[in-house]
Amino acid sequence: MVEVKLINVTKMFGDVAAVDKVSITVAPGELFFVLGPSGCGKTTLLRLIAGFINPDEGEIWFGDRLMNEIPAHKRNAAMVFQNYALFPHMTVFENVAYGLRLRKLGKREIAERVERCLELVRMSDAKWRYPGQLSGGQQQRVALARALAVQPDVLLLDEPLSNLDAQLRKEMRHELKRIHSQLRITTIYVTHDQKEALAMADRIAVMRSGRVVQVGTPYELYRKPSSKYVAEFIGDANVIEGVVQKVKGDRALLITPLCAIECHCDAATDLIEGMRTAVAIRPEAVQVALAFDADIHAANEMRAKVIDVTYMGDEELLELSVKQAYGEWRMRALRTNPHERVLVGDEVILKFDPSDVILIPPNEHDE
Amino acid sequence: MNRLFRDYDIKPDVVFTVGALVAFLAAFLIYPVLYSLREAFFADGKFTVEFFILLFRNPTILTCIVNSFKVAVVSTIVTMMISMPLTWVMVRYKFPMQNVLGVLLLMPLILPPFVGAIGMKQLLARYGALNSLLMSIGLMDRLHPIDWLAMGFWCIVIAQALHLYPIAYLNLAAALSSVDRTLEEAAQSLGADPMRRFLTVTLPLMFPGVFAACILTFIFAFTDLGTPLIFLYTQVIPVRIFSMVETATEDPTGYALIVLVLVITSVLFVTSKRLSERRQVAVVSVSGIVPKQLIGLKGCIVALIISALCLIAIVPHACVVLNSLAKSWAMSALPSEFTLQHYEALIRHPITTVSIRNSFVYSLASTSLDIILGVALAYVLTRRRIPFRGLLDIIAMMPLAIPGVVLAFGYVGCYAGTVLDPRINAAPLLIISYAVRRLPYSVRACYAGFQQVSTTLEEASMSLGASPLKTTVKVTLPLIYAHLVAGAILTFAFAMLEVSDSLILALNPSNFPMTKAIYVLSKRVGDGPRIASAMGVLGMVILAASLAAASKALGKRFGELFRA
Repeated sequence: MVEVKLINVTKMFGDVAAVDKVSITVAPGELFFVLGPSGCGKTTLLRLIAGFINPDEGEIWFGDRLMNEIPAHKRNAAMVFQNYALFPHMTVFENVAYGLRLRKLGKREIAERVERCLELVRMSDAKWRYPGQLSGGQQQRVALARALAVQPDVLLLDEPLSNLDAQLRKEMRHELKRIHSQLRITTIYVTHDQKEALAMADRIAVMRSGRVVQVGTPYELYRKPSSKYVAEFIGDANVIEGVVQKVKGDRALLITPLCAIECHCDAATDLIEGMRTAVAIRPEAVQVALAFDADIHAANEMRAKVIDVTYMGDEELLELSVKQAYGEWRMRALRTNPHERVLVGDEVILKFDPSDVILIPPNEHDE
Repeated sequence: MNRLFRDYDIKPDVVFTVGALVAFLAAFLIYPVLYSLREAFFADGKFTVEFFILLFRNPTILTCIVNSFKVAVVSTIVTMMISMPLTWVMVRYKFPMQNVLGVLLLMPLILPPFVGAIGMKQLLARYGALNSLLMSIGLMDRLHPIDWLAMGFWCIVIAQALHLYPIAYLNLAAALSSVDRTLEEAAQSLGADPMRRFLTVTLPLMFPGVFAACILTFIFAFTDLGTPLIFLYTQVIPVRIFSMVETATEDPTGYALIVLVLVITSVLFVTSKRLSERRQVAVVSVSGIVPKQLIGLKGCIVALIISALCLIAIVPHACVVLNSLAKSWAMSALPSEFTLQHYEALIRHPITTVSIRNSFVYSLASTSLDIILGVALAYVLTRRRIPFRGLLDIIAMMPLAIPGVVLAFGYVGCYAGTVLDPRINAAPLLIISYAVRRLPYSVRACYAGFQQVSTTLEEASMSLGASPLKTTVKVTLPLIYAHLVAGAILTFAFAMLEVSDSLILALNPSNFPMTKAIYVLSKRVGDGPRIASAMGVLGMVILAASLAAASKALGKRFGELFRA
């Protein structure tokens, strides 16, 4: 197990910084995710760690070894590729044995280790088949076995599940988690799928245009996103802008065009009365009351009209319109286990708990 | 019978087209080959291998076989030694002047090596340009010059390698760029150093392409008639076959030799084809893997080395040009006096004027024939369900494996004494042999075109009331125009400079095409070689213009035409 540390790593492609002053530390044995939309530089970051490309600036450390000048084949950082990159001219066995043969292990030991790795990914039966004869999911398992066989210091996964269908993807998530908890190899996993990241990661780094915008556990990222971008990228969010009216202890009151919003704030966020800021409210935190004629007086309440309903069985996503004196706003609410039907055109009252209001730090919300 | 009608398009137009095609291929491709086989294996109606025994007992022939193999093997090795590193830097790196060099590298294609050989002969003669240069700077004794031409073997190898490396390069480049780069990265991340990566991953994956390049080079060198003839290196199989043409009808060992060549080339060709079909892996392009930029000194050195290669490769051509302009050129590095009289001779001299006219007529005729055959074949192969489709496809590609000397020799044998007898009038057989030899290229160009045109367009046309023929003429052909033009131009260009068929079939001066005229003139004393050079220059100009036009019509996919 080895720690991976990036210090101010920058990689330029022409005039564009594909990776821009990225600093992250991945703890030994951690399952660390790099999450971002396509083109955000996450794959470039992974390739920098693998050593396929060299950073223009910054340092990459594996434990106490500086890796900058070390070529990829001497880093012992095995990578699983998005397209699996299995050698088509070799059998499954030969693919998995490839790295072991390079390490000049004995025949016996190679056979044993290949066997063990194939067992780990449950592919022992396919040993003598060629990659072309395997399904996508099987290829993916073999690719993983090949990477694990060399007992890498660092395991790099580049969107490993993106070419699989939804069912298989779910299955492989469990498999990968199981294998990771069994082997505890420091793993860096790149994906654009936030659900995958939330479900699997020890910690996640969210990237945007070459920069890391936030690092944290899935819980932290979901509950305390540091920016509007993270709030909207991880999960869904209703972002509402407003002005701070009053701060008292750990409570703050905001005036927004929709309604007055009361929320929790910790001492670290220095809110000043009169400053502009924004909050995010998760759709599942919005409670929908069908009794429209009830009075509204409290904060965190508003009237709305249903304009679209997406029924998904276990839950129901409502698209809502909130009309106020200054204009019209959109809100989304997610109802779980809906048994009372809500129809398009219904008028409803929306409420949310102050503890469900996510305060977005003032400097970040304007991005 | 009903099944036949259900499974296949048995309709008048198809029957007629396929019938005509089969008849043509049978008469001018299958029959000559079968005829050669019969003559080689049967005597007085009985099967015999006696002629082969005679062949292998004849020490001269044995020497020829050994020499031919030596020439072909060494030429292939030298060609690969040039083209392999060349391919690597051209595909995997970016450096200054790369685009310009990429075009210049293909220059040697525009001249058959035997014309270049005439230039090299001038350069390397005992008192030729190179020795004169060496003498004038004091590096060589005036009284004891080195006789380079005595090393005929190496002269042939150099002439062939300088002509063939672009073809090998195009094949290798295609193979290398189709190797999925992530596979190399996967090997790297598993701990393979660059050499291991190349040997265990890249080379095995591009092997079919490497083998194809080797085979193309080998077959060309093995069956090249013109170059050994010019360098007077006569102890090789093609020259031997050439000298046997006169006695073709009497001496069956000639056919045995033909069959031997045919077997060697077919086996190699089929092996190469098998290899390339065995594994076809889709290429996945991954963003972020780009050719490495060679900057500064490294880039300049690479550009310099490739420029030097281009320069060396066009030395024979340059010598041909200089020779054509020289009033006299001996005992000096450069001609002492220049003149245009040899070009004047092109218009005056009876052999030259007739041969230029002949070449144009033959080439145009064979090109037209190839277009008709190519379109018809591609049409039935892509658009119609016919029985034995695969067989027809193989037959259409067969000429690739049949060297010119073999086909021409077969023609002389089986059409002697008929209306097509080349000794009376070689024109029809010359046209047909050019057409047959280039047929695979024409078919391939048309085939690619047909495959690109969606059948729904044709169905739309037919649903609006157009007949299949009308649809082909009005919709399909206009859409595959670029392919047709490119295929036609190349067919034309190569017909103009086809060597072995021309040398063997054109027995009568009134039928000489340019290549035969160049050969005959080059052997004459006095102005002959210079007039031959002037014709060579004309040939270069025609071929260069044709290739430029073809590449314009095809754009980037130009290289595909030279691949196996």
